[in-house]
Amino acid sequence: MRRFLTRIRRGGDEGSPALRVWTALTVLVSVFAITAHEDFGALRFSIAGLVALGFLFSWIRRRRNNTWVKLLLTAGCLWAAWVFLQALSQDPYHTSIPLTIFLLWLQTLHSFDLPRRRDLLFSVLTSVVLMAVAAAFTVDMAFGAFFLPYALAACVTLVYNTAEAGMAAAAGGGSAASDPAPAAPPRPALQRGEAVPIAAALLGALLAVAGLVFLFTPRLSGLFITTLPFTPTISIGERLQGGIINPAYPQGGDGTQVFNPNGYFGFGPNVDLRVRGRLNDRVVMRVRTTERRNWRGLVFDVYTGTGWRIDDHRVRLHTAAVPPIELVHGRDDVYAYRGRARRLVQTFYIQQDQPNVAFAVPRAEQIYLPGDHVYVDRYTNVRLPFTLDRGMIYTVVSRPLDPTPEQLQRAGTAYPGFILERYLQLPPSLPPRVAVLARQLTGDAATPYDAVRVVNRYLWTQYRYDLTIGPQRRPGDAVDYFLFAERRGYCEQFASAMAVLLRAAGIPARLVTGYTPGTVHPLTGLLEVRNSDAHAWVEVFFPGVGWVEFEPTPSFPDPAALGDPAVPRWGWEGFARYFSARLAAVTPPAWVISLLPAAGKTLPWMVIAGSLGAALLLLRRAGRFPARVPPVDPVLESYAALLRLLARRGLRRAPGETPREFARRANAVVDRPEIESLTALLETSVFGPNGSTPDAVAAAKRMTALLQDARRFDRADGKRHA
Amino acid sequence: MRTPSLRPTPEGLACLVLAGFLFLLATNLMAGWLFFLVAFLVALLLVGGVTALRGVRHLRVEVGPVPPTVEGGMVAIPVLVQSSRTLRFVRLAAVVGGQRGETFLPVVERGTKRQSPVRLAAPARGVYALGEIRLISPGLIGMFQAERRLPARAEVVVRPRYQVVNDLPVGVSDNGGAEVPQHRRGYELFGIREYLPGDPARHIHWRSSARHRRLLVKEFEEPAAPILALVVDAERGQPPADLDAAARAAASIAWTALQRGWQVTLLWCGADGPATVRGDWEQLWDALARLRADGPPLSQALGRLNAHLRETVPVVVSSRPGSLRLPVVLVAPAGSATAWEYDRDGAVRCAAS
Repeated sequence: MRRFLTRIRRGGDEGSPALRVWTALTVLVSVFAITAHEDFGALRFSIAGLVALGFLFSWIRRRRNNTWVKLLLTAGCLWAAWVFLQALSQDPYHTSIPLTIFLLWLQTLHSFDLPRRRDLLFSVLTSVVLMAVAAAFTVDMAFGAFFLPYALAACVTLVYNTAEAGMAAAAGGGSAASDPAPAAPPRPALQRGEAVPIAAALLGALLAVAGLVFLFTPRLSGLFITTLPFTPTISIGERLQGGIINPAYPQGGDGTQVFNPNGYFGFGPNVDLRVRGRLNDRVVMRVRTTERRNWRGLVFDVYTGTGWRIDDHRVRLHTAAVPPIELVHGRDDVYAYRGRARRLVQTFYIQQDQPNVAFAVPRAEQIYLPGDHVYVDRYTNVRLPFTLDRGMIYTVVSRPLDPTPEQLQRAGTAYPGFILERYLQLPPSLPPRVAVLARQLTGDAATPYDAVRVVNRYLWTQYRYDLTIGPQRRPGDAVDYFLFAERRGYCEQFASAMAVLLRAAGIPARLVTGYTPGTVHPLTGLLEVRNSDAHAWVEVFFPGVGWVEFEPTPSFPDPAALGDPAVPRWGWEGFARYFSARLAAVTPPAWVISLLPAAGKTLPWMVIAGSLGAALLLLRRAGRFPARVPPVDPVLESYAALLRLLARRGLRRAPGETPREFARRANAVVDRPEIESLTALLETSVFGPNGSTPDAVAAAKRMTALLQDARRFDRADGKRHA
Repeated sequence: MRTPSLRPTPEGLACLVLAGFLFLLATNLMAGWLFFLVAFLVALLLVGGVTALRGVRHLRVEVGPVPPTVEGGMVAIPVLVQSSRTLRFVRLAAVVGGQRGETFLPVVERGTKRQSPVRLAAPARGVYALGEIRLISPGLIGMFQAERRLPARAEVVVRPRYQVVNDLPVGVSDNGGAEVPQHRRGYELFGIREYLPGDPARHIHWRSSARHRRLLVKEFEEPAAPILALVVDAERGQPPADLDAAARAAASIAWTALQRGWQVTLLWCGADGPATVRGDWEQLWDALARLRADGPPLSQALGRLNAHLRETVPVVVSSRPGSLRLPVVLVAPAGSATAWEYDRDGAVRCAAS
């Protein structure tokens, strides 16, 4: 018992400074990674400094009795737990920072008591947990900048650990302890500087395998969480009182707006169909959700002839002392609830300043955000008391309905009066031919749904989506100009045309602006929504069902087709989709398109195929694929190099001629002592009892290098004298 | 070649458990980077397994003859190692008589051969068969441990310890004096030869010289060295530790006697009948190492060895002398009421001193 306790106290201390240093580096990188997702300020560097100090302390005291240290550390852990629980009780909705601080303190305290190798390994294990927490909170690619150095440091640590464990296992095997005549001090497990190249090569293999595993890891539907993320309560300046502010268009108002490529002009009280311009590709938000859907922003009900506006700005206040804020739909959002729709959680990470509008899937029921109230208008536009600033996070819980075509067919025409009154509105200035067109298109439709599909299909097939259209060349109604003159345009023109045609056909419709789902990033798993994803579409009212989305713009997915999983089932699908989308956003030069008519659509696959082909070619040239070269004795390789050198001088070994005979013959011509020395080494390696010893290998390589240098010198000399 | 076995190390198990837990977390949180971290942990396991298996597949070993060792010392099993790949952190392990030894090879260069003895503490006296050598490889990152057992035919001989004896156990003569156990003394007449200048005059054989009318002298042979007949009791059924102690005592006596110029004949009666070894120290020592308790009782053994014991007073080393009434010098464990006694370490002394 006494021996056991002594062993526990003293332990088999780990005396490898390299292992400790690399373990400390691994832990430090994880500390910086986990503190990157929030602003920890000076705490980050304090923790890092304490961790480094702890490792040094452990190293110095690794052979001593540390009972008092353990007691102090236990007290420290209890204190950290108490602080964490206190923070949770004060604000149970924001656990990320308290949890991060708690984990950091545990790691820091543990750093002060690391006498044995298994304690160091435990530190590495907890650093993986820190990295996991950092990975869970990361929404962009910044995590990669921490992951690579962390992986390298961890690999070096594992290599050192394996080496030290091997030495300890061999020593514990009874060989050294009772050896009356111990052998000479053994070679260190790893020479100085040897571990890093090994780990670097290993890291390459690990990343390749990890990449393959990642591509084929299944992604199932998740987000079964009760505590939904949102930014902690922040101090906001002057709060908005239900108005709509678009930071990209602060002047608002009427008149033709000046286009701002950094923001969509459709996120204000008005949509001006005369605005021309192309939005940039910057990411405006990232969305974590289980389904790909359009993120509705604003609904417009009055068509003015040059654009749309929100007619009724009356809002209702929704408050909550503790999150979430329960939302009640607006007066015009009449839905017939048929059963309980599934719950869809969407968390929005704002990357660029946005209007004070909560983008979300329709039929939002709850919202978690840094504030205690929101405003909801009759259209169920959720207006926030502050604009969405970069870095904000809010979560919306919706219950979307996806009616089947059969349900829509059976909807009938029993529209509520207030719906007809508002959503059949058309300006008196609308040219009659628009209504004529509407009647022509929908005259044969048996049901309103059929009429909607006909109009939808008409716009898809007869008009072209084009972002390069110029300004409206003559004054007049914008929809009329689009339908009969320009015949191409933005999504606003298409959506406006569909809404106007349907209204002219007696079907209530309205314009909606927001964002399309975006593209899922294969590494973060979040949908990246860009400026260029800003979009306008149509909602059509069906009695007994409610407002249903329709997509009139060609090349945009039908909302009925949305609702598929946000993240593809397999990682490789995500990569393919992401890069296809990114490449599709790149327009090939005109001369390329003229040569390859299908280049626009097939360009992504051509790039992928070309990349694969180039990679195969490179691998084949590098000799890695497909043949595997069997290993050769290094001394034999050196002798083969000697034979090649001599062959260039016309000296070839005859069949049946022994190496020694050939060496004598060659020496008579070339007169280099290395020939006979290398031949002697060859004989020793092949026929000797010890084979190719390291000294023999080194000597053979040296001699080959000398001969090669001599050959180069002779050649240069020959040229000089020629 | 036997199929290598692969089992996870504690680090590998921790990695596996953590990967599983993080996968569930990643699925629930739909955090892409967390999936990548899980993939990296899985890659650690896969690469760890592959490098571990590689470490034992490409290694060839040859076991050389094992030099004999002594109790309490070290057994050094010479192993020649060759690899067709550059391998790291490989261990060679051997088990002999319950004792395990390992040697650690930080690196085995491709194509080179190197001697890497496996050293382990010597087990108890005896002869052991080294059945196999184990190759153990944790790979480069220690997630798995691959082990491959290679057959190795080698014999490990552990010889008994011995000590220098101050007084050799000898018999007591009729007049109470010490009787050196030898039956020949003095110079023996070997023959007659021609006189050579310098020969002592007293060696002239006058009668032969007169007969042959020339001077002839007597020629003598070297006096025979004293012969010690050392009998070890190998009776079946005695505890191995007792036979070991007896072997140590016999080794101490034999060593001391040889140092003093005596000839020593080792005798015992085993399962195959009487056995004798007369030779140098190495041969005697080796025979004592191979001694097994598989013979008849001592009195029977002495009867069977009688032919070899004529004209000598043998020294009998026995752990269970009983009431032996034979003209022998009995050396028994301390407290056995014999004239000579030995202890567990092989020290022999006269009981009266």
